[in-house]
Formats: sequence, C-alpha cells, structure tokens
Amino acid sequence: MTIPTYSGMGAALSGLEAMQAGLDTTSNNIANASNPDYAQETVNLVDSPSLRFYTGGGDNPGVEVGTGVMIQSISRGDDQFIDGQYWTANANSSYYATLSSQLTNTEQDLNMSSTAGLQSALNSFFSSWQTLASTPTTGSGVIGAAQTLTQQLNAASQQISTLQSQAGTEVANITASGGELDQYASSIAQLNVQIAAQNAAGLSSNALQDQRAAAIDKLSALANIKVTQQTNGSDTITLVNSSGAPVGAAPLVDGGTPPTVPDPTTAVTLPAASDLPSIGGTIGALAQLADTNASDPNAPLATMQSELDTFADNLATRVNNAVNPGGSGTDFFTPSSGLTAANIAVNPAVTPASLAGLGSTVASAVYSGQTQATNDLATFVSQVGNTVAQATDSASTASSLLTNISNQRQSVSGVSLDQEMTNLITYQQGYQASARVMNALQSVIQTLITSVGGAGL
Amino acid sequence: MTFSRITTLMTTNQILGEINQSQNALATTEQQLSTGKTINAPSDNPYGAALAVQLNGQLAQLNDYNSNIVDGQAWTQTGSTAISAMQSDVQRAQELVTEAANGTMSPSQLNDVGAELTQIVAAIKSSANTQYNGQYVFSGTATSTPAYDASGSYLSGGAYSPVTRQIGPASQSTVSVDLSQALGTNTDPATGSGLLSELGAIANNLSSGSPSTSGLSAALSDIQDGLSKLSSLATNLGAATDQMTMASTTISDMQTSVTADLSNDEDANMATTMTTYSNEEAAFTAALKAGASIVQTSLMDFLTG
Repeated sequence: MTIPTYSGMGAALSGLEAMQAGLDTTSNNIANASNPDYAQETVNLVDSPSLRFYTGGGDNPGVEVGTGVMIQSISRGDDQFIDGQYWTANANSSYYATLSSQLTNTEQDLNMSSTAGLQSALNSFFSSWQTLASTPTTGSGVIGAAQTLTQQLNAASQQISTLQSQAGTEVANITASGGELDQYASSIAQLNVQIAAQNAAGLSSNALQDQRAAAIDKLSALANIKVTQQTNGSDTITLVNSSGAPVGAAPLVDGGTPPTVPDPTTAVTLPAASDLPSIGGTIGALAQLADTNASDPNAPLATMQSELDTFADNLATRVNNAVNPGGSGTDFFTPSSGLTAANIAVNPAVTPASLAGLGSTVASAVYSGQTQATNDLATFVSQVGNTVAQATDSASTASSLLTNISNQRQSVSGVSLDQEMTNLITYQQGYQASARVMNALQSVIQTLITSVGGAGL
Repeated sequence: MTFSRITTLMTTNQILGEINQSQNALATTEQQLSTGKTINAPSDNPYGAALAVQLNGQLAQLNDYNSNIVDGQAWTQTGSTAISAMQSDVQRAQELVTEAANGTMSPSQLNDVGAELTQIVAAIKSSANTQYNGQYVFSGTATSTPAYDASGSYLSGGAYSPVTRQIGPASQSTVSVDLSQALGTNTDPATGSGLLSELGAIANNLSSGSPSTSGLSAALSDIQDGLSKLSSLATNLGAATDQMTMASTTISDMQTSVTADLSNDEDANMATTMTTYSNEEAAFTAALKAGASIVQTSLMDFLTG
C-alpha cells in the first residue's frame, strides 16, 4: 500500500479552509466588538480521520498519516448559569431603580424640607392660635393659616394619589396585549420556532440565539423570569416571584416539549393583573406603587397616604376637641367623620367672630397640641425618609451587583480585541504556512513529473 | 473580582460605571455645599430630618412665647402708665379734699374744688378705659368692654377674669389687674361705693349751692386707702413685667441652644464638605483620565504591518 500523491495537498487545503474560517470568525467578532447583544464566537477545530498505511507484512501495525483539520463547529460564548444570574440581577435592579426614582419624586413633591411646606404651615397654624389667645380679634389670621395648612395636606395627598394612578397607567400599558411585555414575549416565541428549526436542520442558530438573548435581557428588566432551555434549543420563560416560585398557571412563553414548538400566536400567556405586584422588575415595582391598599405591606405609596391621613385625622381631632369639647358645638375642621388628608377643610361655619368668642383658654388649649402635632409630623417625615432611603440604598446595591454580574457575563461572551488580534495573527500565519506547504508539495510533484516525465517518450 | 477574560465592553462598562459613581458623589456634595445643609430631603437622613422637624417646632414655640412676652409687656406698661396717671389724679384730689376739710374756704372756692374733683373723677375713668391695640387693658378678658361705661359700673356689671400670656411651656404671666379693687364696682355717687363713688359724692356736694365740709376728714382715709390699693396694683403689673423680662432672657438662651442643635443636625460642616468635594473632584478627574488612556490602548497599537 502506498501513500496517495495528493494526500498532503488535501491536508494543506483543509488547513487553508480552517484558517479562512478562523479569519472570518475573528473578523465577525471584531466587527461586533461593541454590540452588547453579541456573544463572541469560537471556531472549534478537530483533526480529520487519519489514513492507516500498512508498511510491512505480518504483525506490523503500520502507520497513521493525518489528513488535515476539520471545522467541527463555530460555538457561541455563552454560560446559561451566568445568564440566569444576570436576568435575576437585572430584574432586581430595575425593580429598585423604579421604586427609588418614583419614591424620590414623591418625596420632592411632598416638599418636606424643614423650612417650607407642611412644617412651616403647621407652625404658622399654631402660632396664629397663640396670637388669637392674646388678641381675640385676629380670628381671620387663624382661618387663613388653617386654610394654608389644609391646602398643603390636600395637595400632598393629591400628589400621592396622582403618582399612584400614573404608576397604574404605566404598568397597565406595559402588560397590555401588544404592550412591551407582550412584544418581547412574542418575539421570543417566534425565535424559539426558528432556532428549533435551524437546530433540527443542523444549521447554526448563533445569530438567532443572540437576538433571543437580547429580547430575554430586555424582558428581565420588566420582571423576574426563569428560563428553561429545551433540548431542541427552544426556551420556556416563566414569571417567578422573589423566592423563585412560578407565578400564574401558564408560563409567559411556552417553549413546548421537544420536538414540538408551540405556534408563536398561542405560546404567550400574559400575567393576570393580580399577579403583577409579585413578579418584581419594573412591572412589580410599578404595580406595588399603584396599589392603593394601605394594609398591604408592599404598597409604599398607600402606606405613605395612610400615614398622612392619620396625621391629618389626629390633628383635626385634637383641635376639634379643644374648640368643641362637648362635641355639640361647631367643629373647627370638617368632615366630622372619615376625615383624610385629601378632604380635611376648615369648617365654613367658623368665622372670625366665632373664633373671637372662644376665649383665650380655648385658644391656649389648641396651642398646647403643637408639640404633639410636631412629633406626629416628625414621625411621618422619618417614615417617608426611611422608605425612600431604603429604596435608594437597595437600588444602589442592586445596581452594583448587576454591574458585577454583567462584567462576568461580558467576560464569557464579550469580545476581547486583544484576543482577536492574537487570533488574527495565528490564523494569518497558519494560512501562510498552509499555502507554503501546498507550494512545497506542488514543487515536489513537479520534480517528480519533470524527472520521470521523459520515460516513455 | 477576577475574571478569566477581560473584554472590550467590560472595560468600557467598568470605566463608565466608575465615572458615574464619581459624578454622583460630586453632585451630592455639590448640593450640600450650595444649600449649606446635609439633609436636603428626609431620605438623606430620616432620623436627622425628623429631629429637624421637632427642633423647628420648638423654635416656632419659642418664637410664639417671645411674641407673647413682647405683647404682654406692652400691656403691663400701658397699664402701669395709666395707673400712675390715676395715682397723681387721686393725690391731687387728696390735696383738694384736705384743703376743703380745713373749713377756711368760701362757698364759691368750695364750688371750684367741687368742679375740679368732677374733672378728676372723669380723668380717672378715662385712664381706667385705656386701650392697647384696641383692647381695654383694665377689663380683664372682656377686652372689648370698657372698664367703666357711662353708667359708671365696672365692666357693665360683668365679672373680671384675669388676662394671661403664655410665656413658657408651663408658665403663664397675668398681665391685667382688677381695677375695681381700688376704684369700686359701682361708681355712681348716690348708689355706689368705693373711691370713685366717694369722690363723685364729695364733688356733687361741693358743687351744690350749699356746700358742706362735714364728713370730708372721714373721706380722707378712704382716699388714702384707694391710693395704697392703686400702688399695690401698680406693683403687680411691675412684677409681671419683671417676670416676662426674665422669661425673655431664658427663651433667648433656649433659642440659641435649639438653633445650635438644629445647625448640628442639618447644616453641612463647610470645612469637611469642601475637603470631601476636592477629594471627589480629584477622583473624578482621575477616573476620566484613566478612562481616556485605557480605552485608547489595545494590542493594535503594538502590531505593525
């Protein structure tokens, strides 16, 4: 048995092809270096099956001569485990970012700096009673100061309600059919079908997988998700709560059971409105902000509203008890029952003349409530401050965690230009070397043909 | 954190993140410098913000007490001035009655004395109806009722209740006096009793066609009694003024200390904040410089051909 003349040429050709593939992949990687959705690709090479030659008789096992290199696959730099961590961190970060930015707005709207707003209105209100105690004819000053105070309370309550309804509208838009959530989920469902089809045909689905990963990244900012990959490459995406348990009966995107991939039009199930507060992400944060049930521990704005109502109610009760001790006369603040920060008002029956008739003892009794009212306001301020500070701190922690995991992810799937330049040199020189081999073989064969070519002529 | 591969986007993200962080820190310190406060929203320091609310409430109370003191002192001073006018009027009446009681005056002279006494009674009543800021200072809490109306009865028959000013969390100062103790509740010469009624009766008697000097000596001791009562009322008002002056000193001390507490709580320490600011500025510049040089360098710079 002899070695075929052109076997070396074949090996050199496979080298040229492999190096060409390497150069192409490197070129693609470099081109996508700044594309955040791109996962770097690597050419995986294996050696071709070798040829065995029996060089002698009997027991001689012969020798194996390699026939070159084969491109086994071009793989995508991707780590499902880190991806999962990234999606969780992303949901967490956008949850706290939304919460803290909305709550910071609320805090600013409430205007609770120590020298303006509610506090200064409260102090002026009590000062006016002290003036009334000294000068009974200053009743109009009391009414004016009280109206300023009730307006401040009404406005603060209104601000909170407005922010709640804004958050409600926003979350409804995002989760509506055709909304942001639906769009991402639908595009994932479509890509599932395409990826499964490519995989079944043995074709590369790297670019499609990049697109799907980008859609999942965006989805993960909206809600907490869990991604389960099927063997055919299709992804099932489930909405989960903060402890990782699935929310809702059906997954958001049904990836099917191999080999079936559900039709994109039926694969998406949007979450029920009642599930929204528990799914985290931007949606969870907005849903919790929109929640008007004050007894819910996860409804920060509703809690704030009820604290403000308590403050207004305590203030009104204390003033009314001092002005109208028996309860049979004229209350200072109305309404007499169901008083909230939103509806507190000065009783229209209160006039400068009726205030002048109260006498300094009553005015002093009202004034004696100043310390308690200030303490109540301080409690409210510290509750608001704590809620906002907690959200802001959590947001900054969640954001640095996300940066960290994002870096880990980039470390696996990002493009390193230094590495690509090194590969470029390797592949370039490999290509040159293969070409040189081919050149050498060609001259060897040439020699053979020239030397023995005369025979038979 | 160590990574197996350092990729282009990682470096960019890292540098961007660090520049953002430096810039955030700078913005926070800049706000503290421009407002002069470390607490610009309750969330900056919830406990400190609540404390600031309470301290501001205390300051507002102290200011209220201070206004009460200013107002109360004006009351007592107005009252004191009126009482000293009454005192000199009563002293003049005392002199006139003493002279008349000597029995050396002619009926026409006695008539003149009677006329002057009538004027004195009117002057005392007018002093008793002194107002401060539209309020009758000798009418107790019934500040819109004159002390003596045309009929001459004190507070139109109403009861006197003292006017107080709150000058501290648990301290009151009485800034009015019950003038009827010295001048009498019913000043009608015929039916009343007390100093003004007696002076009126004497005046009527002396102004009549047949003046009589009998009983004038006995009236002198009542006049003396009225004078000493007036001076004890003046002493009461003087004591209230003193009490409020002392309270005012205490309040101004407390204002200083609460203001200092408030400043400690929410004001920025400028020296520290400025130092922090320059440190953060240096860090920010460094982050920018590092970013500029790291992002520009890659293997490409060292490959030739």
